[in-house]
Amino acid sequence: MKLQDYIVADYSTKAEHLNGFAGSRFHALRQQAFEQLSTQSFPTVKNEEWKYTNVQALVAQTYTTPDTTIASVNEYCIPDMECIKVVFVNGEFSATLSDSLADIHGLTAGSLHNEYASNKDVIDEKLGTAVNTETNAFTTANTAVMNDGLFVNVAKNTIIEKPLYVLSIVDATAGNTLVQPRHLLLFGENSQATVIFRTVTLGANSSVTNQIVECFAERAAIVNCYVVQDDSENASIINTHNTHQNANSVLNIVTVSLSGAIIRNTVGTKLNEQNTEAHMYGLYVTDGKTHVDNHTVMDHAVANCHSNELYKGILDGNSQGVFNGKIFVREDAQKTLAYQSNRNILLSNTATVNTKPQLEIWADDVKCSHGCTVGQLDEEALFYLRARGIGERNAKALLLTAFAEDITEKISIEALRNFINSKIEQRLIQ
Amino acid sequence: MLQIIGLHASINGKEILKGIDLTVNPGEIHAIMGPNGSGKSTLASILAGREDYEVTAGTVLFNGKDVFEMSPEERSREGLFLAFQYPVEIPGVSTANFLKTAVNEVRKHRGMEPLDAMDFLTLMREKAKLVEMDSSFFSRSLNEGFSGGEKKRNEIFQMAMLEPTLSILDETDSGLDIDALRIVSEGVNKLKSSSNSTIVITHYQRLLNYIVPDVVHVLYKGRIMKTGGKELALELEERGYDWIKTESEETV
Repeated sequence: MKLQDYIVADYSTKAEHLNGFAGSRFHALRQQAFEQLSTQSFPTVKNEEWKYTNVQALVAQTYTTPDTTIASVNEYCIPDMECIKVVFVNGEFSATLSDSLADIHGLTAGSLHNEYASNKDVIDEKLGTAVNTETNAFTTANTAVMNDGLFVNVAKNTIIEKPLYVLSIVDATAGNTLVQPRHLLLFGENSQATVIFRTVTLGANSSVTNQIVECFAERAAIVNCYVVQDDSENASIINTHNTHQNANSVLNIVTVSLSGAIIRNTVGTKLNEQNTEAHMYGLYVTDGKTHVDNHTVMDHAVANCHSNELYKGILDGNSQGVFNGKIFVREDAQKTLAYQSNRNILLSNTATVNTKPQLEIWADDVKCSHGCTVGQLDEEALFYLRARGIGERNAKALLLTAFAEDITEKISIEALRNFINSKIEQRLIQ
Repeated sequence: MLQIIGLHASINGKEILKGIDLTVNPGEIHAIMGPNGSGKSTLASILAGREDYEVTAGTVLFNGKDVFEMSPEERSREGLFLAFQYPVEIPGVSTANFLKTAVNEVRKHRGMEPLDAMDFLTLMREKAKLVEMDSSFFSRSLNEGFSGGEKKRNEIFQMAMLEPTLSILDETDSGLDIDALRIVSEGVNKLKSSSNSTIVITHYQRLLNYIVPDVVHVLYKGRIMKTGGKELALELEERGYDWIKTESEETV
């Protein structure tokens, strides 16, 4: 079945087997989105927001539902990283592959589907409020069939020491597979936690992950999200990650894209109350035909907030990069500090980057800056290193690693940082 | 050590070097002086392997090997060192990490075991003393935010670490105050031995008060117009370059 038909069938199955969801707001959201979807179509390059990212192949291909058994996920873990593993297989929570989520002080976490019954009120209050189903059919589609994903609720004044490692396994051995995880993360007042997202595709067919993360940071919460995109060359991901931030909260989000087919990240945060900080970082180190599109939205709704955004790309082969960074500074958002920068290095003549900063400022007492560069490796620096006996390949790797480390150093978990750095190094030294 | 025979080179079709002949023997210090635009830095760049220049004629042998057959890194590993006129700032690459990579590549080429972290640190500390460099520089990004003097000291520090047999100092004195000049020259003098050689490229005689040359060459319009002892440098300081220019026009 093609994408649209597959979603219709998926919805119908869910609507027929409501179980505990009958009459719920959860299902009402699905129903509403499903109706909306019949009037929407998936974006084409004629849509300004998708101008450089063509998803028609994903829309046109057919999808099957896999039947998968996985004995162990050890090989998909980050070496030496202490974490709380939360595993999804084809979009569904796997209790057997996940670590125990019970008995972690101050943490309610688990399958959104399973947790709904006992956390109905908080889920109903937040679910769907950080995304907009009117403008993007992928968001609508995800909402129409949403069923499972990570639900996290970090209690007030709680620090969760170990990061949550959200591993999504997608089985594309028998055919093309579509999964649509829906994650809901609630960070209570003065709480702190780290969530890592990673998708691993099995098999050689195409996998498409249309994922939504809705994240809510209450007053003074510290939210760290790391998104690792190092999937197979036939794996595509449409990743929508929106945060709402209350006063004094801090968001650190780092998105690292290393491989895949089509990667589209729409990362946004709304700074809803004063003295909020948002740090948004992205790195894409790509080759082959990988296409990475980062759309970001920094929405300053109120005064005295600070946002900082740095995206860097190293593109080789025929890979393509897109960066579109929106900063909104609303009328009330005086004394806003908002910085944005996108820097790219092209290593081949066939790699391309389209970069576009987009600032809309309605307040008059703000400090905002943006900049973007697209260039080649610094020849002077390269010669300098070679003149000291360092071979050309190593010299290039040294320079590019340094360029990338501006982003990877923002990852506070050493094991994860090492894992990503070594992947980048391997790529650059080859 | 170094033999330059009939070297001609050009950039974008414009001939800069018009037949250079120069021989440097082990243990010798040669100074190459000349007015701006005479081709001094071009010569240094070509010897180090910069690709912007086209060598149109001539041969350069370093320890009997054709340098034009070697990449810049191979020349360096063979023992040729260029102290840059304008050392490049490299953000994100620490001096320590850079030098460890460089030193170990050179050691590998010489058939030596790579240095481990401790031995390397000890070596760095020892060599840094030569140019009065503080160990806080090791962890800083290479040359980033360094003052002019710090950059030049860092060049000599790298020279000490890599132990070249032929060092070319390209206008190492430019932009240095008197203290930095003293530190840099003392560093160079301490590294001097009977088996290594130095080419000092400079515009002014000043540096040669500290690094005393065995031979002084005057480069003008891409040719060596005059060669003499250290007294030639003093003569140039007194009389300027005009008399060389006049002589050159007379010979032409």
